[in-house]
Amino acid sequence: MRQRTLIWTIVIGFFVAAGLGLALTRPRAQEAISDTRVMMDTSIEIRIFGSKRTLEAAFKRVQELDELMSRTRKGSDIYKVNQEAGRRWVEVSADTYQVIETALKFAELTGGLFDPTITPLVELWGIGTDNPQIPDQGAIEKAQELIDYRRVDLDPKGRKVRLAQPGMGLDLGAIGKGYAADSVAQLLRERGVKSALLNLGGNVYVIGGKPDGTPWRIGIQDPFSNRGTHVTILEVRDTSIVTSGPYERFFIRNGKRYHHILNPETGYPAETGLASVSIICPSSITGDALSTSVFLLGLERGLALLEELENVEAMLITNDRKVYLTSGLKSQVKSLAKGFEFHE
Amino acid sequence: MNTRRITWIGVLVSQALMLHAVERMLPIPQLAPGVKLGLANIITLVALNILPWADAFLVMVLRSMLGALLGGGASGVLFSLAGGTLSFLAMSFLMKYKDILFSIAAISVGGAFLHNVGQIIMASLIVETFNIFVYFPILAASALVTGFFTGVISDLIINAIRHARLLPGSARRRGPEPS
Amino acid sequence: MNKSRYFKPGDLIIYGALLVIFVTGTLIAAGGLGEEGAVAVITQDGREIRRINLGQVDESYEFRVENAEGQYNIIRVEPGRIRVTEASCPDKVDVKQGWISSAHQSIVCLPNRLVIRIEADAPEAEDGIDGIAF
Repeated sequence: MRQRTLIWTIVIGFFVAAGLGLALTRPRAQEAISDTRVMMDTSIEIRIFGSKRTLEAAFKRVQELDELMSRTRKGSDIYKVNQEAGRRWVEVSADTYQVIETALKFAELTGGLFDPTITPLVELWGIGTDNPQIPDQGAIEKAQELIDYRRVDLDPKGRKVRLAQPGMGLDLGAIGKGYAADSVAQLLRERGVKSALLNLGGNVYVIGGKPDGTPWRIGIQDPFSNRGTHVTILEVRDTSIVTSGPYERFFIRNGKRYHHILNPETGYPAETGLASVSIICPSSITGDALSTSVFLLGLERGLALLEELENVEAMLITNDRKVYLTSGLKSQVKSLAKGFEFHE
Repeated sequence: MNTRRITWIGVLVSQALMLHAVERMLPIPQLAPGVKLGLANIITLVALNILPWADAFLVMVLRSMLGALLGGGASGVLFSLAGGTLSFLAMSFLMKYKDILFSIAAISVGGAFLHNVGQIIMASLIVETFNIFVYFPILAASALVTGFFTGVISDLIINAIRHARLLPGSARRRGPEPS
Repeated sequence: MNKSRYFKPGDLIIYGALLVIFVTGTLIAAGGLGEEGAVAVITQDGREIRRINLGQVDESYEFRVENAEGQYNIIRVEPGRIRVTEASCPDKVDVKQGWISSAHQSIVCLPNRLVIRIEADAPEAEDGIDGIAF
């Protein structure tokens, strides 16, 4: 009798231990699951080799960040900061604070061409809304006066933010998706996901390679063709690829195209001769900020900035269909779609 | 528990772990989740034949646990236990009719199949989206081959043990030897 | 060691059972594979409104999806593929994108919050692209 009890105690004990072990180690499922949802004002595709629970957690993270950093969503950190512009300090989440800090860093780097306080101009043009318009010069100049990244006050201790003047406003649209990609990637890695592809409105982030061991094959959008047409294909692992171009959001008035990448110095959509800028680097927030920055800087100044940075590769396409590559990409990109040629 | 039984349990568990290790070294491609040669099944069959039911069960649990822990870590334990328990229960039932109705080879085949099935069911519980039925034919086919093979080997080993008069309870150091 | 040592009459039950499992399992799996065309899932405002197995489409057809604000998309389904042919949205990105048919591909109409995506277990795209940075 005692022997039986002993055996069963051991057996049950082992099962309990095994159950605990299982719960703690979270075995990785090898099924491919994916979903595409409309969030952050764009389409979010998450494809992982893992469980449904993990996929849901990833989307939930995107949702959270959207609720913190959306400019238009009532109650978001950014909404509150903009509401209190010229008045109060607003305490923000650690996520928001970090993104604002990074945005200001890139504003510094580009001498204010990339400026997260672009909101007055964005609202004036209304590109991406139901009724975009070409503002008159007076309104543009008034808006420009309210744009100055140096007038964003930060209090790191209290994690507080304040804008110096009423009417000013932060817009993290050019950087938020990148941060979200990094953040979701971190969540997935913590949950043991070894292979995943995120596409946050064109910001691609890949974890590992594909489950069969081959690298992910990511197309770079042809800036002159319909969505889904590529100029070239990159084979990548554990990196982010972010492309910025005027074809993403625009409206056409009197036969002229007005796009969403606004230059705070001119007050108009940036015309720099570039058709698109793709940045390949491990940090998606860097890629997101850089792709917009380089687009605004234009070909020469953009390439000069890129040369200074490490671990960053880029592909620039000009309006006359010339393709410029940073040195690290030259060995990777061998062929281009018809009509494009490498710059010699 | 007397020393002899403890010794048998220990010997069988360690043999099973040896077989686990040997199997991992063999360059056999993984056809599907759950499909494997299952050399350690030999030990379960031997244990069922020469040990009391409870001891044999203990051998199975211990070798599943330790084998999985040594092989792949804690997450493998549940897979291994699920497969081991299911196949053990089936084989211990079939074993009642051994040589009357079933040969040891067929019992082993049944056990091998249910071992794989147990693992697959566990996998489907964890992975959530998982089409079990896709794998059933592969499991059935592979169990037929591997089960027969391990069954025959087990039989040879059991006979060898019997001939060597090593069985607990039956072999006595002193007194007349039955022949 | 005679021959019948490894074969007793009852063995037929076990082998027979395995054979049945093998055959039925193969049939089920084969049947499942036959149906495994691309499945298109259409969601609006995050809710699934329609699910179409493109592998089982024999004749092409069109249908209209309208949201609460009266904004619409007209979706065309053909054997093995799906696209948006007309939409009320201003940018028409969804219409211009054309057909999709392979695993993970999607058409998104942001203004109307409409997503058409092909489920993961569909065949992979022939050009071997996993995603596109735009």
